Amino acid sequence: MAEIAFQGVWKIYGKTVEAVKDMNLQIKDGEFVSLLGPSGCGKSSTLRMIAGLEEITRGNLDIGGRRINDVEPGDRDVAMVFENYALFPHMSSYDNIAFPLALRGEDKKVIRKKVEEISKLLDLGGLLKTLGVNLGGGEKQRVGIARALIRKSSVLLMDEPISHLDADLRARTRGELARLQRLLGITTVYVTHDQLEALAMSDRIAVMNLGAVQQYGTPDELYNHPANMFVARFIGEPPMNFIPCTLQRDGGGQVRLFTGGRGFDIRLAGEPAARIDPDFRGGEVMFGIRPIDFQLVGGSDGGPTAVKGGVLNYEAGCEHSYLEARLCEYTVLVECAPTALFSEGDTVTFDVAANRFHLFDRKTEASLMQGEKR
Amino acid sequence: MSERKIEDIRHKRKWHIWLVLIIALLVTLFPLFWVLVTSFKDSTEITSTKPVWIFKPTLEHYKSILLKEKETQDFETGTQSIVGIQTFEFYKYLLNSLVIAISTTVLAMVIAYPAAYSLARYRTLGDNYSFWVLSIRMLPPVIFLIPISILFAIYGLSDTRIGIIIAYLTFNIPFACWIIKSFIEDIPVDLEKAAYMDGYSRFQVMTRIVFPLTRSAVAAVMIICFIFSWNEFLFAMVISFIRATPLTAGVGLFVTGYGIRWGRISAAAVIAIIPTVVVGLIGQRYLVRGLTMGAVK
Repeated sequence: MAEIAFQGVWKIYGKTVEAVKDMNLQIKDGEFVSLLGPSGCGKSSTLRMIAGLEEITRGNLDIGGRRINDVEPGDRDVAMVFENYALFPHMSSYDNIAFPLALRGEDKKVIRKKVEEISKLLDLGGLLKTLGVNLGGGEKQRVGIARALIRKSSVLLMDEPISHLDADLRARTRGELARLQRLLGITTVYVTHDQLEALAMSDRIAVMNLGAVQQYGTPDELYNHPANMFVARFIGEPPMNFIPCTLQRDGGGQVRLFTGGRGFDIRLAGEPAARIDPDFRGGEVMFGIRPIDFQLVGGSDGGPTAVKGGVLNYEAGCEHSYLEARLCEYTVLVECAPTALFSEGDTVTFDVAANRFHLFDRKTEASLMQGEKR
Repeated sequence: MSERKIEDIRHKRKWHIWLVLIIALLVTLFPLFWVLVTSFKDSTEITSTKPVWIFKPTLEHYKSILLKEKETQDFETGTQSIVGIQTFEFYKYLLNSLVIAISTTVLAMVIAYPAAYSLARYRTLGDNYSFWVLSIRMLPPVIFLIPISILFAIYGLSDTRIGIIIAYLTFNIPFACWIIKSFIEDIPVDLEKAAYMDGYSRFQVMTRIVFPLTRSAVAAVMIICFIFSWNEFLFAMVISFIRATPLTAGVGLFVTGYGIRWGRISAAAVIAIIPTVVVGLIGQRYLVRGLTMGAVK
């Protein structure tokens, strides 16, 4: 069993730089968890704390129920694939892959057998004699993975292992990695800044920013129920649109959302209104809606949740088309069917509450929707 | 401009470059050539006021040095043999030079490599310490001559090989340290971290992962340290008197109260040059590869 448990873990560089703040995270045995966030959010520091390459300033880190704060990297039963592959350039692929086993003093025949097995799995057969320095990007990455997997450790750590590959190879490798992880059932922690990668591969994702976990959940939870504006903005491509407005509760369970200017004044009732946190009585909020969640309404009126806007730009595509529209004084991006046709200056009407919408407290940036708490 | 014209200009420019190179080469190599020629002339030809270009070569100077002849008649002056010639013990000086140069080179590397690793990977003694180490090498060596002479006299290190080795180490260690440090810095830290995760200790990482990757640089630095130690004259002249005198200082013994024995100085110099030329030739591929290792990624 290789569950990983962070209990109030801090990483502070020097005296003031807080790279990881009070992290509490449980990673189940065999789970594929991604640490996702922008540069400098603390995701790599977290990974390196698990690896033992960074000291833990405060808190406890357990692997398989054992506190490993002070255990040497080599004794943690953890393997790692590095961002730049970290292959020894003076060794052949074979020696690179065999390195961890040779270090343990395993029998040469056993090593050969294991290297052949793992090479078959990763399709490395023809590359075993090639020096590390002469391998291409994708090959290096596969050798790096083979070196990590051959140890049969209970935890596999991956630090942006495919970020240096070109787009096509990245997409293929993404699938391969996920398949391999499921095949071996190894607890995996994967660091990336690419949300598509994380969403495609992970069982659960920890979205991080400024050293703190913003939300920890399944890809579906993060996309459909973001805990705060950061997660809402970070997850999803193109990103969510935000419109600052005021929330006012009327008697009879109705909610009014309006901006200072003209054009955005909607009334929610019934199920959409019931989704809003009842403890929030009213005030400054941020209305969030993903480009795909706008619903175009024919005709001129459209009902109490309809908003009119002017077309600024229209990008026709084969799979999706994008419409840039002016909604009161805010510019929003709308995803529409490829068959839709618009021209600059057209007036369009959207129903902004027909599908999903999100509300965030403008002060705390936390979600005001029920069931979207961190 | 036509292609032909461009080509002509290129050729002209190349021609100028070649001319400059040839002049530079002549200026640099002429003293060596003259030393070589002088070592085969007899004393009258050497001391002639007009340079003698055509002469009958003689090996007398070499014989006198290599065969340790106790001359009854001085070849150069025609008088009885004198102090300085009889005391020139070529093989002793050669042995001293070899022991001093090899020991300095090996010790400099043994001390400088871990120091360079530490400076490259840790904030050893603060951010500016590594530059402070190098600054020792930047000072004119003569600054250290007086304190080193006094200290060596107090601690009985004057005229000992160990004394000269220590003196040379003060210059070679900072140089070696600085060069190797910059090469180690070019090696991705992740390589080392990968080795830690597989169970290597810090020392094993340095010796088995980092060292093999900096072999060319180490070879280049060792060659330079060897050549510096072999060629050094000032410290050797001041610190050594009889026992520990290396070849460079030994050659100086031909400057006697009765005259300067140019023939023997030249012959000794030619012999003294041979090891550095051999080391340079053997090691030139390491020198080029080592000193340009960090330049092209």
